[in-house]
Amino acid sequence: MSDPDGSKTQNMGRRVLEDTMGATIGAAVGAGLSTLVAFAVPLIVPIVPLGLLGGSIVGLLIKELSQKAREKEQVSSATRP
Amino acid sequence: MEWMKLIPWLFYNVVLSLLIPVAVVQGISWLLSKPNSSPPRNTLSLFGIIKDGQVFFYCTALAAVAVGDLRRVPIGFDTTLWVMGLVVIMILSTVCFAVGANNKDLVEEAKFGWTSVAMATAAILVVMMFRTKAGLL
Repeated sequence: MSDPDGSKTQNMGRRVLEDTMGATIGAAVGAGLSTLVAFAVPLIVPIVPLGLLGGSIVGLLIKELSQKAREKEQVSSATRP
Repeated sequence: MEWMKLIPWLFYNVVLSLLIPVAVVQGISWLLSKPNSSPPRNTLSLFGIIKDGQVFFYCTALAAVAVGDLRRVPIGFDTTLWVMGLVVIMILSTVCFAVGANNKDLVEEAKFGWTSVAMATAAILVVMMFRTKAGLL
């Protein structure tokens, strides 16, 4: 658990920050789209909280996948001769 | 006209409690700005005002008040998914604020600002729809 220069902690902080931002923006998009649907089509199922939950999960996944891809790219560029 | 009931709710919960405070801060900042002085004192930007995560407090409060009003929901109205949505808003906004406050050096003003705006939009939409559907406007 040694992290003398604090880079690991900083990377973790950045990762969590990016993930929460992705989840939040996804939640807003999901809630917005589902609100439009709820106004357009009268549904019995509460679609807005479902849109919020789905949007936040999709946003989180997109951010996480893009971070993974970026990390992979960094590793491959560092190991390239 | 169901949507007519939304106007007073939006006025008290969005205009008075979110938009006017931000507008007043920007107005005061504009009054105090001295662009020709040395060093120049510029007007604060919108994201400069909300960069510390104040909007996340608003989102948490909005969702928490809606959770508090659950006991007023008519019998037979299924609140399960709404409670989940409101709890997600509270968790997301609290985590966003906590992460932003603990990593001030990593926070980009524009990104964090847009996240605040997105969180506020999501919270307002979910709470507004919950109140509309539950008849709590």
